[in-house]
Amino acid sequence: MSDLLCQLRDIRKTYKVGDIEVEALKGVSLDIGKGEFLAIMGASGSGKTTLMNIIGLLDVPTSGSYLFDNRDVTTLSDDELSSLRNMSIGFVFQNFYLLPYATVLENVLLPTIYGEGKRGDGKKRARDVLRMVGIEEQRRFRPTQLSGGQQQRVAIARALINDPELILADEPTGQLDSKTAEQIMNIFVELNRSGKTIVLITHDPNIASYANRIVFIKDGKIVEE
Amino acid sequence: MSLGRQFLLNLKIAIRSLCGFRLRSLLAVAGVFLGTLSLVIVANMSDSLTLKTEKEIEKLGKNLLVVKSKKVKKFRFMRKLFTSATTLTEQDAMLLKSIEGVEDVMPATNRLFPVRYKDRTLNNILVVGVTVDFPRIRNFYPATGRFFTKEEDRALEKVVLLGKTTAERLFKGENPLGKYIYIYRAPCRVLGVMETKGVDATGTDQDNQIIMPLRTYLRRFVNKDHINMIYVRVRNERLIPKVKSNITELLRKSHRIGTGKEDDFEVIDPKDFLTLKTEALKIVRTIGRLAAAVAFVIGGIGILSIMILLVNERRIEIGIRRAVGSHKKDIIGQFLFESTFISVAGGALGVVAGFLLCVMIYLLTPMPFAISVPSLILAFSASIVVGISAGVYPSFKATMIQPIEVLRE
Repeated sequence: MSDLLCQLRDIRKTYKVGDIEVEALKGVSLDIGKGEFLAIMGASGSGKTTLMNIIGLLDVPTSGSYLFDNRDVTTLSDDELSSLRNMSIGFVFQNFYLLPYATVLENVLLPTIYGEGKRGDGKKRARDVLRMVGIEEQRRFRPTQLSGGQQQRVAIARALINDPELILADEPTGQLDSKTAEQIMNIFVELNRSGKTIVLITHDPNIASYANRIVFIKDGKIVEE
Repeated sequence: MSLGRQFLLNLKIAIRSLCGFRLRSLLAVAGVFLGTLSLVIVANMSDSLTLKTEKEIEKLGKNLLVVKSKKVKKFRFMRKLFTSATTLTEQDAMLLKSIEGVEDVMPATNRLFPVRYKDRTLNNILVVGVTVDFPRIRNFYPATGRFFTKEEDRALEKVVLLGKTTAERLFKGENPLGKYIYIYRAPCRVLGVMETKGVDATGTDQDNQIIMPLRTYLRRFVNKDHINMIYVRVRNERLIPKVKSNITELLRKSHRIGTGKEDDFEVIDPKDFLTLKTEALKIVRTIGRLAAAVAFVIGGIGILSIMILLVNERRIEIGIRRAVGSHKKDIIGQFLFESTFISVAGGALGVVAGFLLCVMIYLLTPMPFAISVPSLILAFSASIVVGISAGVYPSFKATMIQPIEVLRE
């Protein structure tokens, strides 16, 4: 057993765009420890989103090995990957991606309807995490009634509801002004302090500076730590 | 626990997202609605009509065969004329009594006559001459007064019994018992009024006729020997086909009809009317089901198009659901549930509306009350099937959506 959460070894990923094969990742090796706050930086087209998709189990590598929590995830089925995402990974996106037809509370509850239902009362937990990110008052609102910062808080609450090991944040402040961005980043710092592993994908050095460790990715390779 | 929550949340989301396609949803619901409605109505109406026919046959009497003289063609003055054959007689009726399995035989004959009471004249009233066995064979008794006796028949007494409607039309509330009415020009004493019976399987209104002794009818009114009907009651339903062929054989011999020549009479089994009507109802049923099928297909296509739109509209939602851990089967379940929801909404409305419409028809018309529960269940199940089948392709398309493709700026 190691206290590494993610062990990526020589990860390659090629996409077919028409007849042309595009190699998005050209042999990435990366270890992420439990409780780490890691920022992955890179320009657009550098392969950082592909890397995030693979770390987040949304995509599988073409070759290479990936141990998540000491489990080889390259051989798992679609359903097994889905269950692992549900229990162990929380996603925060640049565009928030909340369901417009559901209330704040229902959005936060969304991951629990696909869980095994073993983690006790979902409603109570949902209110706890909404309080943690400071948006409990607005739980009956629709996402469209909220500001961008508030929507991102809801998305963070949704990521936290199943108490995952890893929070993956893809440009979480990309749509926010700098003052709101600071507030959101402080939430991540707070979460990291309470023991959550956080992986942040960004191109903004100011945002990356909140992390304890920064890796740079360029042309599908990690170039600098 | 999580299943119930999933159900409730998905129901809410389904309804809210359908609100974005109000007109389309309404049309799809209307299609399924019309499908179930026509299924329910056709099934209930044909059940009711079958029941009605059965009741009419019961009115005619049980295990009854009717021998009727046939219409024959005659040529006279270069013109075609149709008249009844004049070969059926009381002696034939006597003859039929000897057939094994025959319980009762009653000769009868009828014609339209003008009838008058005081200054009220009814021009075409069916007057039937029957024997004293009539009430027993036809299961048809006087409501007031009494039937005529054998002695009155033998003595050619001019006595009559009135159908309920005829009595009302002639007497307008006056008590007809003991009064005299004029049939043609002959005064006849009213003995009684028959009970209400309605229309029988041959289409005769039993309540609008006048009954008198057969001999009186033959000697005093038409002065002929031939009759036009013989009722034959058979002891047992199973014997009917055999009795029927025996009657034919016997009457052909009695009427001296050579081999190869047509019968001048026909033997009618009222059950044949039932089979005939059942056949007709089958066609109606089939047409109704066809119409229902068309409506269902239209509704199904409507649902299909809405669901494809919904899936496209909600690609991001599907991506998020997949990202937060829903399995493909959860997505399939969600969209099948939504398409079934639209369809069942229409189905439930159709079943309820069909039921209420039938009840209304039964209350406003003399059709007997018949609600076919299996047809209600069948119609409702059909709407579920339509919903599920319309949802298969869209929900399959939904599972093809990859989160990494839609969750990208």
